[in-house]
Amino acid sequence: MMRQVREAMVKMTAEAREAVKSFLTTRDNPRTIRIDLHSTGCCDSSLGLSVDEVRENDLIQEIDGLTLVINPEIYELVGEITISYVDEKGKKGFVLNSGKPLNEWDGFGTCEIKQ
Amino acid sequence: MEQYKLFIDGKFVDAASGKTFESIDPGTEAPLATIAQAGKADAEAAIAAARKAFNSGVWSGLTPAARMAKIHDFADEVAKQGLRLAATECMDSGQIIGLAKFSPLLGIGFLRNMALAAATKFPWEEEIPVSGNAFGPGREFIRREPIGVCVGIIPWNFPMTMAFWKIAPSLIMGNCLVLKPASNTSLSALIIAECAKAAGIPDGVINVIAGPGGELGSVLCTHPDVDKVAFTGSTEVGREIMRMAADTVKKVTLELGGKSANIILDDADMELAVEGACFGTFFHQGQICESGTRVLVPSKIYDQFVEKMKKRAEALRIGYQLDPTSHMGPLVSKQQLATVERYVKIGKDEGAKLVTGGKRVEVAGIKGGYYYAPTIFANVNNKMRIAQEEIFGPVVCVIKYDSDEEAVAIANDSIYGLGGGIFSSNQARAERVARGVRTGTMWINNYHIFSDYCPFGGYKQSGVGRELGLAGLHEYTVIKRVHVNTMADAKTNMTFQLMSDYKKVDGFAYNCPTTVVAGHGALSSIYKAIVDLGCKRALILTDPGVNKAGLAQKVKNALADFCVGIYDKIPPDPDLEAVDAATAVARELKADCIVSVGGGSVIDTAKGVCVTLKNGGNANDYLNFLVLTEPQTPHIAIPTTSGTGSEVTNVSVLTSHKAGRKLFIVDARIMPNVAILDPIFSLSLPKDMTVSTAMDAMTHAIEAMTSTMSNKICDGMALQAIRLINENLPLVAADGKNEKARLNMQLAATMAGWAFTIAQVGLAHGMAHTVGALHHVPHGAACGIILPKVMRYNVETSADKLAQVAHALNVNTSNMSDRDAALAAADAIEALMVKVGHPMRLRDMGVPEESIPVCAFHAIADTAVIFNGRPVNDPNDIIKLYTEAY
Repeated sequence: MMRQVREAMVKMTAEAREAVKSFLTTRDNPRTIRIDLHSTGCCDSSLGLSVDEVRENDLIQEIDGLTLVINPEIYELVGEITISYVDEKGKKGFVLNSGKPLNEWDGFGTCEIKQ
Repeated sequence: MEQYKLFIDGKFVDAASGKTFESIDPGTEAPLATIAQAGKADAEAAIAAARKAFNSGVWSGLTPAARMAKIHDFADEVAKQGLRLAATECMDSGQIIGLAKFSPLLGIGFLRNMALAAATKFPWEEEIPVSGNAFGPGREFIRREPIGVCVGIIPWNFPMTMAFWKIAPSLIMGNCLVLKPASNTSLSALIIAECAKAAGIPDGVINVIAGPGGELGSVLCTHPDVDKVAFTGSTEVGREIMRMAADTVKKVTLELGGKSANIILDDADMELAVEGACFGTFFHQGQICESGTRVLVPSKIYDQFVEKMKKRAEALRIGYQLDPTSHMGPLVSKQQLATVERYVKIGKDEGAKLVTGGKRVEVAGIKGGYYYAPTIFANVNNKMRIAQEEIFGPVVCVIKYDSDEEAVAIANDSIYGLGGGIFSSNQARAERVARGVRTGTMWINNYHIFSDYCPFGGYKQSGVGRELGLAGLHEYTVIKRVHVNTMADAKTNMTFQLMSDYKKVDGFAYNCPTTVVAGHGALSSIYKAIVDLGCKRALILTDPGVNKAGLAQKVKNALADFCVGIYDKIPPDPDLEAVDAATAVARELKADCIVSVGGGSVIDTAKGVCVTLKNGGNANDYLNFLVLTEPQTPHIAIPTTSGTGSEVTNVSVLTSHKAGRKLFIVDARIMPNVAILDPIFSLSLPKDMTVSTAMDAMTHAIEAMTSTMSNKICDGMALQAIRLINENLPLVAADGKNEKARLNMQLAATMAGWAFTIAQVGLAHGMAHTVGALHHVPHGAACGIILPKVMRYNVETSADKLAQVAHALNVNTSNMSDRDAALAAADAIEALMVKVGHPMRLRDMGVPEESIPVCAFHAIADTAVIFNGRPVNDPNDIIKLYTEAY
């Protein structure tokens, strides 16, 4: 299996790291989180997170004991990704921004980690 | 390359930052135009312009007809730009020219249709004939008014159409708009802005700003000067917009994602269904939110259907969007192409069978472009991600099912509910299935058909509110309720009096339209009366005793051919079922007039029958105050007692077994049309009933005088009734056949009825209702026993009125204070009761002493007590009165 470990593929805020870990402890402690394209209905798909396993050709980055993976073609499309976590004024969830925004609503909404 | 600017306050301007961005042709990936890129400052300027325009009234203050005239000019300017709009839309969004060429025409039609609807069909003002508040009479109406500053945020799939869907309703309904087109496809909206300017739409009424959704959306959806946000786009963004808008409580309409089911029934025309399934999915490369991307096919035709779909999909021509032979053009962007590819991979990984497609397409002669083949997945389980998540590309899931119920269950197994289709040769079956699917639009034997007057929107996470049609126009208005009080007087306002020690209601409306025909031989007038009422089929309602006495037959004879029957099963203390049973007979006989012959029970039942016969349904449906809006079935009342006055009142008292008490229909529209007071109908009334019903009438009259609603018209009626009862009750008690005295008693009961139907009754009635309901004490007897006790209680507030009562009772009140006269009136009532042999104590009527406290708590809650001249707030007062009467 081809694995490419990358160093500067993803940035995570401390709050995002803690939120991911907190989520994983409720799910038998898997350690691998995939960053992927997710449709959220109608126009403009967005980046999302899901619990997964490492797959063929994945780009991999270890952050604070977490394994973040992404398909290389998607990484090529979106560039460096920043994952932050918000919990304020009723807005709660992960916010994903990318160096090459997928669309004009980049980072506008929030997402949860899909199982 | 063309350059486009922002349109703010009637001017085309550069962005405040000076930034621009490029729009590209997705069919060639070549730059098409540069566009000024709005930022926060531009969004704020656009909102300010819209707010200023709205507040000035330059647009919102026009009549709908005047706005329609300007919209016609606007539509004409769109027509002038039609070719440019179509070509630009085609190149900018990837729409095939075969589709884009219709878009200006559809936009013009939409502008004109909605403007006409707003000017001619929209209910800007609406009367509310029944307010539902019996204590606050007045004219009630609503006005629908523009909301104010609206924001429209639209997607890239149908940029021109979406622009019109936001512009038309917002402007036509008098609002001002800030429109933000999708960054991929901003050009048509900016051309439409040119049309608006050319048409003379006032500055600031429409503003168009292009730029990044996230940055602009954060301003547009939180700015305090924005009143409404209408968004079409992804559910994720819509959810965030709704949350943002919540801070300033903006109105929000959202048209979001979908994963619609296109259900092919086993009796569908195969060729039509295959076309419908392919068109429903692959039209505009599947970039349509209501696409039928889950095609549900019965097992027994599944393989055959998939094979035909494959053949049809593979025959579709994919090409450059300006090529008139292209069936499908490019996807809008490389990101959208990547999303589609990603989901196709997910589908394969999930185990779905790729039947065809699943790959990019190169178009001959073009380098680049985001073309993708129509893709069919078979053997799809509805739980798979490709069946649950909207791909927004030319990818369809074909799902197998075995019964109509299973198809509906699969269709509903989605977070979305936007569109859907059914293909069947059985219309009834198709409609049955359509009813089961929780979705905003269902097409039967068709797909993707929109119509200006037909609303569009979603169930579940597909959205909030509706676009198009009158429903869509309503979304751009707010409702203002206007109440105009009937009487502009503080002392006639019952609700204001909750905070006042002045409890009397001074003003009044006297509306008692019953025609009274009274005297010896009055019965014969019924023959003319029924003709005057325009009726030909009268049903006589009565009770067994009255019928047995031959009184109903007298009426039947008087009606001659106008009588269709006698129904004599009305019980004493009638319940709702009694009304419904009589109504069933009246319906069967096609009665067009009700003639009631009897006492209060019969007449009250007849009032209920008149209501149900007119309006349908059951008596229980109409137990309420003032809910009727038009004349009821004509009613002629012939009383055989002299007590209730029901022949002229607005009340029908009916027992509801479910509620466990007597309830009311109260409405001026149930007052009988004609009351015939012929003494022959009461000559045979037994003495005890003669006396007790007379005391009911006496109580009506005296309580009408002392109630908070008393007035001088009713006082006059009441005093005359009191005089007549005082003079004639001893006569009829002594000789029931005294026709003259009987007539006087009938007149007294009718006048007392007129008095209390406007002025209401009071505490004595509330207490009598209670011992009647709990211990079956006849109403008239209970009233008589309790009345003098309550009169003495009311001396505190109503001495002057009771002094008049004393005078009417022939008490010599000279040299008496009002208080003494009032007390003398109570004594006179008791003396009259003794004289005529009326029961004097509740203990003699079967009321157990230990129930007095319970009776008091029931009585204080009785409606009649509200109107007692002396406010009744302490149950101990009532216990004391019951004890005195015991």
